[in-house]
Amino acid sequence: MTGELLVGVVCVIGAFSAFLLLTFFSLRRVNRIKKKGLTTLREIKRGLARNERTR
Amino acid sequence: MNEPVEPSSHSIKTELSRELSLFHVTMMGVGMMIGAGVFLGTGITIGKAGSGGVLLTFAFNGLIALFTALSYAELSSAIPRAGGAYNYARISYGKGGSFLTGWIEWFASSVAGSIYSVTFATYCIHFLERMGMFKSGGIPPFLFVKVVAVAAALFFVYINYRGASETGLAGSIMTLGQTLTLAFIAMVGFWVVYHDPSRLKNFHPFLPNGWDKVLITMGFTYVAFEGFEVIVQTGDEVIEPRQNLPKAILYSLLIVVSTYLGVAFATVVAVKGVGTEAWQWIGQYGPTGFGEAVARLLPYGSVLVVVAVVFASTSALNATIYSATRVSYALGRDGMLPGIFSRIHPKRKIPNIALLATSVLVTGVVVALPTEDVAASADIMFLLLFFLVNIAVIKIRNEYGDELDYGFVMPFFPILPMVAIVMQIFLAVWLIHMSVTAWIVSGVWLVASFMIFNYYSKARCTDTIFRIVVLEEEKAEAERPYRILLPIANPAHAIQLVGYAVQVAQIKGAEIIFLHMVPIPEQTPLSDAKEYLDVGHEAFIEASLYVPPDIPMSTSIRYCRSVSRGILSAIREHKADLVILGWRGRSFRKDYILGSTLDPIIEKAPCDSIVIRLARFRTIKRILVPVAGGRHGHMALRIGNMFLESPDSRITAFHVLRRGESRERIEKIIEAMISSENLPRGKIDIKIVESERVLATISTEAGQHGLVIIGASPPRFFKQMVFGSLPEAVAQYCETPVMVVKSKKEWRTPLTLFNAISHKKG
Repeated sequence: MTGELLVGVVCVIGAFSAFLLLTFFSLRRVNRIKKKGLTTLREIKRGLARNERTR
Repeated sequence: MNEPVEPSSHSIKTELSRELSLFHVTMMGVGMMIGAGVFLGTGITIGKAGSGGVLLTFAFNGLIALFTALSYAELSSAIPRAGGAYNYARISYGKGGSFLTGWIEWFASSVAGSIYSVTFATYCIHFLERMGMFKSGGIPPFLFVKVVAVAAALFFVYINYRGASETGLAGSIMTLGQTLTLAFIAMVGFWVVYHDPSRLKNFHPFLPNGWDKVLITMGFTYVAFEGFEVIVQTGDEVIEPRQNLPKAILYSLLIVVSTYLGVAFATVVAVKGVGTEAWQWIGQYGPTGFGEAVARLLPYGSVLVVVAVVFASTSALNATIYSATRVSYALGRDGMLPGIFSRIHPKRKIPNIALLATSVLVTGVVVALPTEDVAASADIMFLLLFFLVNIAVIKIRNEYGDELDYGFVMPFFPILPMVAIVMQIFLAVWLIHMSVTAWIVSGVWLVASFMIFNYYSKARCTDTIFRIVVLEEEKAEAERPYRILLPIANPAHAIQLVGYAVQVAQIKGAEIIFLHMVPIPEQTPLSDAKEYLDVGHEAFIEASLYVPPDIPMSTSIRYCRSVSRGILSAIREHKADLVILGWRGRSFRKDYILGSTLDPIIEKAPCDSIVIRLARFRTIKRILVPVAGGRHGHMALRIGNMFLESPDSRITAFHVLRRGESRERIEKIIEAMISSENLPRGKIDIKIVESERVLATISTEAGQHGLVIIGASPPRFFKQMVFGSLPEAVAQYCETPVMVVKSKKEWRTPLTLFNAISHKKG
């Protein structure tokens, strides 16, 4: 495997993995915000931050 | 919070019906994105960037498109209304910017519809010719293409006319068909490689023309990821929009990026034994390279591709007509275009006149203009649109975030929209080199927007509910360089606060600006505002009785849906140096520390701020200033010095020494603070008490003083506090009058710098 091929494959896999991670992370956010019944920006920020701390 | 209602608009008689499901809108987004781009773009991209380049192009574009998609997801969850980007611009940029955005959006979507109808017609006629079912008979084929394209566009205009449900159903069925076809092609590609791994050699060389070609193909195909625009247009018609719109945007992008990558992989591995490199062989066919490759992968592959193209171009055409219609409807609804655009068919519940105007635009472009250059100008328009949306998401969250109900907020804010902004600038610049005509067409359309706005829309368009209206304003005859803004809600509070403002004004040689925000109910037209002015007038009269004649005094009565935003706007407009706010001593809302009005002002005020727990001003002999260094502590000492009125009054600079702290070090810090502020050392006592119970110790000490002045704590990451926990607790629990001060200089993050720039421009 040449260096160029290796870099290219890593970039494709890396970019697509980052895309998938960010997409699923964001989808999870939508569900959590709905589940917790959060609406205002402050509620969401605090609600999500509290959840992160307790996990 | 209720759905926003225009305060000055007429009552809405007919509304769009809310019947589109998550599946419907997801499919509409997928349909608009896959469109014809993947069929035309894959072959061209492989020819330019190589076998690996096509994968890199789609993977990187998917990631960058996701950043913009998250902006759309956040905004659509907070402002779920037909009009999409136009609505966001209306809130963040005002009338002119929002008209420009809506105008761009209408053009870009309509022209995209024209391109899809031409693509459909081209492939249909090509297919019929190959099957021997069509002969042009000496008539130039492009004329047939135009006729079929117009017929296709009109057919989907009719589908849209049938109503939202049919639009969603027709689009969903076609999109599902095309997506399944492409998924099947991708799976066959993987199956072939599984049985014949030697085909992976087609990826060698991975990037025959280098990385710069990848950047070029990224620009070329980026607009194939713009389907979230149609999803947000369904804001008035989708069920549970605050959750379903962000989900639909994310699901559709997930489907599209995965499909593009799978199809690109299958296209490359489809080629074997052609005598040249695979990427060269596919590239030589250009737009039809994908079809030629798939024909070698599958029996009847070319038929399958034609079927897929028919599905793709028709579903994209359907979605773009829908999207463009909703934008022109929104422009008409807000008075930007003639009101007839906002007329809704009483039976069909669709904006029929807006649909008619869109159909004229789509078919007119099909008939009159060359497709390629117009397509490039649509690219430029979409990039400009996304650029505006990414700025809008930052502005709206910072300035209007407290007034909106969100169903989703994007992670890593504001880094992701900033990256998207940079990338979109880069791609738009690249398109200048691709087509000069495209920039001329775009320029003409932009000039037209300026003319229409200035000669028609400016005088007629309705105000947004977010507008700040100055109802009455009276300026002081002599302006002073230092300005104190004193927002007052009612006459009783005015009397309590004015003494503090006068004290500071006399020492600073300042003028006082009294501000009263009128609480007009949302449904009440602004024309009735005068009925609500009396309280403000009374407060001004009461306050002015306590202001000595040598202090210049201005007054301003304003309306804003959000009092805090109205006050912040007044601070910026009057260039106030200090804002003095009264606090009742409790908050009724769990998500706010001091209250829904005070918290945003203190967080965002571009000037020094003082919050006084409401108590009548009196001459104070002993002032307690708890200090621990820091910018806000300096300000607390400075303000304390201003209130030293009588010769025997004194300040106590107080510190609670905790375990491990050095008394000498704290003494040095306090001494340094006093000398750096040029305060009279003889009037300041330094008192340091050892204790682990900081709040209780300060409260006890406060009992021996007439006023407590405490500086805000430095901001802490991941902790949403207005002043920092200790000052808030002191302000809440001390029985002595408390004043909390915050100096304007904050940490300079990229976001605060951006805010500063945008406020200056605003």
